[in-house]
Amino acid sequence: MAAGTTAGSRVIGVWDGVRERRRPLMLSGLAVAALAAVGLLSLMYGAVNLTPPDVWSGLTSSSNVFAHEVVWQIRYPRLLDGMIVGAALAVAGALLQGVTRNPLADPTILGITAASGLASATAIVIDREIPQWGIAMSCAGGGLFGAAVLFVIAWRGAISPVRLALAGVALSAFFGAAIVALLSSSRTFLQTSLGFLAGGLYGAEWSDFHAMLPYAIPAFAAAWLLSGHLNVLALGDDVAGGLGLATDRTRMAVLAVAGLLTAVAVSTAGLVSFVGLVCPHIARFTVGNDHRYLIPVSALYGAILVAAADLVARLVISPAEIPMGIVTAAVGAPFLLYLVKARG
Amino acid sequence: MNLSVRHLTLAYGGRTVVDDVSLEIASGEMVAIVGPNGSGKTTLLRGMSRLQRPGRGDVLLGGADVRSIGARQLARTLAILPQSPEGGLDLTVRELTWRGRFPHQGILQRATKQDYDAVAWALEAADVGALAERQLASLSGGERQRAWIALALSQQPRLLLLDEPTSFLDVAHQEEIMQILRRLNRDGMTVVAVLHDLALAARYTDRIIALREGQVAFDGPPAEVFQPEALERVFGWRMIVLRDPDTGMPVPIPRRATIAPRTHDGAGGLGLAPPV
Amino acid sequence: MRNLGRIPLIVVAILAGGVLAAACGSSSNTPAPSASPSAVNTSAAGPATAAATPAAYPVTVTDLLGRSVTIKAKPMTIVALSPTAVEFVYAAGGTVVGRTDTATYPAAAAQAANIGSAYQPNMEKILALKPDLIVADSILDAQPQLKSAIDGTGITTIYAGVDSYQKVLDGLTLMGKVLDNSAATDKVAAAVTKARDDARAALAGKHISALAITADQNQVLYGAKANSYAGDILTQLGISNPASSLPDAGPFPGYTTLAQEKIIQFNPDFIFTVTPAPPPVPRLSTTIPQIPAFASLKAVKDHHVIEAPVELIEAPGPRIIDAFRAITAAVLGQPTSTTAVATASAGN
Repeated sequence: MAAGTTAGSRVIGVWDGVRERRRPLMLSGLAVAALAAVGLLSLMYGAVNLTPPDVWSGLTSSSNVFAHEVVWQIRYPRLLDGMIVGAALAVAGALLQGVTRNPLADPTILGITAASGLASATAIVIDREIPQWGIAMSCAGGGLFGAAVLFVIAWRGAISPVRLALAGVALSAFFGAAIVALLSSSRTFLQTSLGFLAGGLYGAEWSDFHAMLPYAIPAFAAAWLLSGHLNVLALGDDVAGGLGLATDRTRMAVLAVAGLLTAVAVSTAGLVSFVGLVCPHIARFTVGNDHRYLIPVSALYGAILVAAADLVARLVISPAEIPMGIVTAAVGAPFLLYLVKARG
Repeated sequence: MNLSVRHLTLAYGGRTVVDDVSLEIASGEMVAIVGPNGSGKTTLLRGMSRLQRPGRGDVLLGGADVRSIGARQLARTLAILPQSPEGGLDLTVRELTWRGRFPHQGILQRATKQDYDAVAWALEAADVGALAERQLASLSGGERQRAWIALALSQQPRLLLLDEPTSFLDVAHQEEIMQILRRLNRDGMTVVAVLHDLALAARYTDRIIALREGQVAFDGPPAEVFQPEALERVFGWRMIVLRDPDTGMPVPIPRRATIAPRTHDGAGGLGLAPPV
Repeated sequence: MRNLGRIPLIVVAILAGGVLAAACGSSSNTPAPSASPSAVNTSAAGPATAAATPAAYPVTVTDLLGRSVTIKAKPMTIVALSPTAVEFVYAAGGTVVGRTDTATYPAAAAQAANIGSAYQPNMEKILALKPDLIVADSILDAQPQLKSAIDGTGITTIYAGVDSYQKVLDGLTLMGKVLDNSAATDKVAAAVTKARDDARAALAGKHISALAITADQNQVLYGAKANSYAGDILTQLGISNPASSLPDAGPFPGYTTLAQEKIIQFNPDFIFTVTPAPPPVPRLSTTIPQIPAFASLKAVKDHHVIEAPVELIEAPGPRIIDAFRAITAAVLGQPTSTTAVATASAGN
């Protein structure tokens, strides 16, 4: 448990404060194994199936030209993109559930996904040839804008979680309508609007990965650094204030980070829903409410969900594909119903 | 660590709730704040702890204006337990108590030996050691209140402010809570508690500050200030003050009201009138 | 990562070796621009029979997107990304190994591997077929992401999207050069031109006005303008198209949203409808006359609301011949035969 000594303090084992030691470790271990399995299957299966040795040679050398082309240029970047998208959405969901103290919050419900999506669609309509980093930047702007509008609308002397949730619903409707209006009048999205609106990873490649990283890395780091703040915020605004937390500034920071994470996901995969709603709950079941563990574990579950959903999306009507967001909705919607029922 | 309130005026919802209040609370005192509903007790407590911004006046802690002390640093010195803290939390007592270490934690949020010791002490001092692994939701009212006290204690404060810590608790649990607070005070903690039960306040505190309509009505040891006239002025009800045979402390008791025949009294009340 | 790019170089090296060996007997009458001065035929087994044929490869062509593409050798394994692309390949005497899901004309193409929808082709499937040429459509120009994915494969790609009569001719010429079969494509192009001229002559002096109308899933009506394929067909036939005066509106390039009042104002002699959705969705030629506001239209009263076969509009290409004939027959009141023209455009 003790992991070494530094002058004046001793780092205590990571699981202090968590109710049971065995369950979180075991379930997290299973999750990591599941991620590895889904990853391997994603690299193996597609329009043409590869064996694991083929996958390995495709990843490491270019001797088997076809395997290398398929694995390194198509499947592997798509898998990485999907994992980042899933992790980002799941962490954004955990952050938003924490800041609104509402278990039914996620980036889609609070309108941040739609704000990012609107920015992305607008950018593409303005410049059809816009490179992926330009899309990522627009999405980031949109996500932060959405978070800012949310904050401003919900602020009246102080932020109330209820007002935040209501403002989110209104913004989601507003930005969502704007997106539909843009899509139906612009020829650029003519045939692919479903992939964008439902969320899909078709065409996801290395440029998406490189475009996401400059936003994803700081955003994930910031999310984890805010976990102590979220833990305290959960206790109520008065107790949190008494513990020295600047509640409004914390909420602003959390919303901004959630906006960035959502933007990362939307820039690559469009308007994916339910990942941010479902994964934090599964994570909570595994490791409890402490955001220091909840956030990384949510990211893990998000990566698994999107990677698995994309695998199904690619295979089910091969060679055509369905948008991955349809699979996440198919899994997420029943889970939402279960949540509503279980919580009463 | 003295707490000094100087000409403090606080407004809430456009109404002045605390009106030019000045107090000194010395280190190590155990003070009760009493008064009728709406007299500003909760607001005064929140004003002392920076949860509420003063319209005018200031609050000094150890000579320094609380507004100039960083929020976290203040939280390391002063802990406040609000009324009716958040319910429905899915935490164990230990998890809740750990959160009180927030003001002490660095950016990487690593648990140190000092954290560990503080939590252990807080659990014992609040007498919830045996309940540490229990879920909050599974505890009784009194046990849960003690868990919240453990949270406040894990901040390792020098001052503890509590807003009605004993309301909604039955008599046994009320006594338990006050015993804990008294013990803490004996060990050096300054305690300021808003209490609604006058007898409880008299038995357990050294000094009673009464508020009426945002202003201090009386301020002193219970034996001195609990006089029938003063109490009637503050609370609007005629009291009689008995003596507790065990402690000798005053026990204020409301006088019986006479049930007058139903008259057409302008107040539209029940026709009850305090005895003339 | 770009190892596929090495393959054409290896092929050229082998061919260059064969070229040097046969340098003595070859003629240099090359009609097509050629980078290497000596002639070469595609079979690596030796160009001994190439004495009379001009050097066809490598050939640099300008595709229909204006891109300059060098075809290094005769493409043998072709993947076509739209019905138009497929028909062009077959018009030039080639065959495809991979085609998109709706590109099943001519019948031989249906045997080829299905590589997904034209808007989301499955890159893995394409790569698995190991093509040496991809014929893409300009749809992809509207989706740069897709374009970069295809360009990223390193496989020689030409864009052959068609939105006008002239582009059909240009596309045939292009494919003739690419597949070194200009004889076949010139024949098809001549047939296309003749069909246009015949139709134009048949309709001369008639002063017909017509609208070409399609609808989206919300039943909003769109009219083809002169810069669309359907609109250009009307223009070529000398039919006046009132929709061309309207500004572009709506999501379809070259189409304008037609309000009912506008249709009534235009009151064209003929309305040609294209219903994109497959049966059992009712055809627009049936539903439009039923709209109460249109009861007074000339075209409705004279039963001149005519359904055009959707594939003629959605697969622009050599079958424009059928479009010309169908429209002419409709205008002249002759029984229409809209079966696909099997002869001239099949190119075999």
